[in-house]
Amino acid sequence: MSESSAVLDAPNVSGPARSIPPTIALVGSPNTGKTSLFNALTGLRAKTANYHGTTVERKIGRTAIAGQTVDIIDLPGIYSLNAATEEERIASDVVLGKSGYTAPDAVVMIADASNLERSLFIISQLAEHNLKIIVALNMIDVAKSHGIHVDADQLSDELKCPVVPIIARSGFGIAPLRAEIAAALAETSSRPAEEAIPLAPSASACNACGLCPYQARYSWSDRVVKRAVKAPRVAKGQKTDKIDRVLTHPFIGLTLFFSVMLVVFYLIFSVASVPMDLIDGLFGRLGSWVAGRVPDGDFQSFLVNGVIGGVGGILVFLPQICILFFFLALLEDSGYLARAAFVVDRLMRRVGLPGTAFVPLLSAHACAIPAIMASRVIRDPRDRLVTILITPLMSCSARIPVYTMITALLFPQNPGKAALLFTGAYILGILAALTMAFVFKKTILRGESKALVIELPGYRIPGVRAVLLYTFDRAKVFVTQAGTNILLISIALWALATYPKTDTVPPNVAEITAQAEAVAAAGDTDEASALFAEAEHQQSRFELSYSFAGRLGKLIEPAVRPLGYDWQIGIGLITSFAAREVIVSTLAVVYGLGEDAGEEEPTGLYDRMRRARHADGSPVFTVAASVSLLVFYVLAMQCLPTQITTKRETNSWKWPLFQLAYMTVLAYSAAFIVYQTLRALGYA
Amino acid sequence: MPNTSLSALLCEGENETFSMSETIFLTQLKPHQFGILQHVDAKDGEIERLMAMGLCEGRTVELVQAGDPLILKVYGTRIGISARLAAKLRVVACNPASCIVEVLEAGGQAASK
Repeated sequence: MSESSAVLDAPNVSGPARSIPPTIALVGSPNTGKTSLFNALTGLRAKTANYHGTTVERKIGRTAIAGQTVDIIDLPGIYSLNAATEEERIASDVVLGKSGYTAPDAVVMIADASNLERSLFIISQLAEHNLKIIVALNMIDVAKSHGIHVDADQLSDELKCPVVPIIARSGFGIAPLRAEIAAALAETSSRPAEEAIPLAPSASACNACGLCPYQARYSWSDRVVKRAVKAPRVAKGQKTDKIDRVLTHPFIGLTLFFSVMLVVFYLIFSVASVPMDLIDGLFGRLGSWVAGRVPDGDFQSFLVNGVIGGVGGILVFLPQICILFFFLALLEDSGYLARAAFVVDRLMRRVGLPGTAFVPLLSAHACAIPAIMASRVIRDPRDRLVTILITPLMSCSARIPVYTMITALLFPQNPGKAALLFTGAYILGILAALTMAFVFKKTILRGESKALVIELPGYRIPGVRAVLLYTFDRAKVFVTQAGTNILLISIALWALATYPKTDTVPPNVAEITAQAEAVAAAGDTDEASALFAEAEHQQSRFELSYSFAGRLGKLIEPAVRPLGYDWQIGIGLITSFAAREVIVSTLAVVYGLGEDAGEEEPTGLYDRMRRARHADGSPVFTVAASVSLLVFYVLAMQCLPTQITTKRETNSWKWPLFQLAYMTVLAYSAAFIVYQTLRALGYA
Repeated sequence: MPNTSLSALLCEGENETFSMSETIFLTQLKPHQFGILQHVDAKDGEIERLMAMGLCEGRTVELVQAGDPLILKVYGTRIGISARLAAKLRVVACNPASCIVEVLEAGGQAASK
């Protein structure tokens, strides 16, 4: 946890010399422009972490107001302080200074000027506590375009607190708001309790009777609105209704939604590949640059394969994360994402998941990491957990190299059959995910899924600044919070494949080296360098099998034998634990081709694989064993960054470990059944 | 007061405003028809969610789009809600021109009593 969170979570601990800056909490409903206001106040200087012991994100940003350093806390968007959801509970705990949080020095309540009633509901709850409240009346431009006029002075009289009209997205009114914050902070005593908003006596009485306890609050807010707001009698939002008639149409809406998602998905896939290759190449070049300057040995290997390889392995995910979150923020800010969840909801209910789960599950086909991060849109914690658990079963882009290898191995002359098998792998992933969702909903995460209730905000042009800031924030969260863990484990896996080292030169390598020297002496340099390379490949093959990874491969051979694998594939299973695509380069090493062969001369690798034999002389990569390996890689976890992301998003190691366990069991059982069935049918 | 709804309370003084016509399910409203919520027959957790969204006894809702899920409007906020849940909400259909104002005033009177 970061420094600032320590301040928040442990309120009474402060450094001897440094005083804690005053805090301002931003409170407001979703879709009222709270994030825009936060951005306008703090800009890029925001830190994102989880509230201690929860999965709710806490954003905190530092800014200077009237020469004083102030921390701004962006609370989760809420509809009330009723603690009905985890987010509401945390928001109310933070605002009221309960559960170990320090109460903020002032609260900025953001209200939607075009729909004041809703925001007043929370204000009526805040007003019952001894808080300094400043109301930021946002979107006065939108209200004006609807012909709604809010009398800020009148409202201020009604609410007995300052009301500042603002347009958070353009920055209008931010300076007066800052001035009000400064004034509130300068005030020594908070508002006397007797000045609390006089809700009608029947209001508090009603809390005790059997009626809707909110009725009194709504009546109060209706009266306040009647006095402070002048709105035309003509219903507003007819334009939104017209657009909605198309976008939420059961058929047209659904078709449009699938088209939109297809385009986004295609962009993640295609556009991301350019920067991904760039990052890959950059780190490759950096690796060879370092290798050229650092003397050979463990340290060089550590730098090149452990550190640079590890960092590259983290950063390579950034393009997909950025592109996905850029488009999601764009769709969300425009108001469309809520409609998307609305139209797809009925379809998703059939598999027991809410409509909001669709976008994460589809984006998982590009990469499970942003998909799991995007599952925050699912409000019900149980539905969200089920979605996170099944997300890695979707075939992500890192599986493509593995699928390519196996389909090409099986059907080198028949692209039609290869494509069919490739598609089959994708379908298997989807079916497995939906089945597991069904199973989880019936067993460990039992319970009727909550019926859809979703606010459909008015349409608007998305704000580019807010969208970019959000994308930047997601990228930062991934790099800083997942990155360090991934790096550590990459280094551990590098060590596993490197140690213990051996100086022994196996007889076959000695033989090839001798041969190469003889050829070199005879003057055939091309042939000699080919032989030297071969000797080097055979040496690294020997070293890998001598390492811990190699020994583990041999150790697990009895376990993977029923799936049709030998110990060399076993090594691949171990080295690709952190990143599944590594199996290709590992197999290239264990089949004596050097690690780049998988990319540079795949046909050479496939030839070697076809020629690979078990000790008894039977081929290793039979149809049965190959399909079994394919099935295993469709269903197995084999991705450490995903696991770390699951840990962050569920705030517990329990779920990533469970995810690893169930997926491994699933992959193992399915591969076992496939191998044994195909073998019985004579495809061995 | 066992089994009383707010509208019943209001109706004591305002019999002619709410001519106690039969309540219908919210799903039975026609598009762009208004209704006043009478009874929310949902489970605890669901009631909380609906109320926080403004779907509370005594409030006026407009059915914007029928179907499953359907779209409601509560005081300018659009809410998408599954038909299964909407079928647990009972309303009295009312005339759009008059019911909003009447509810406001009734609410004001009830509150100031």
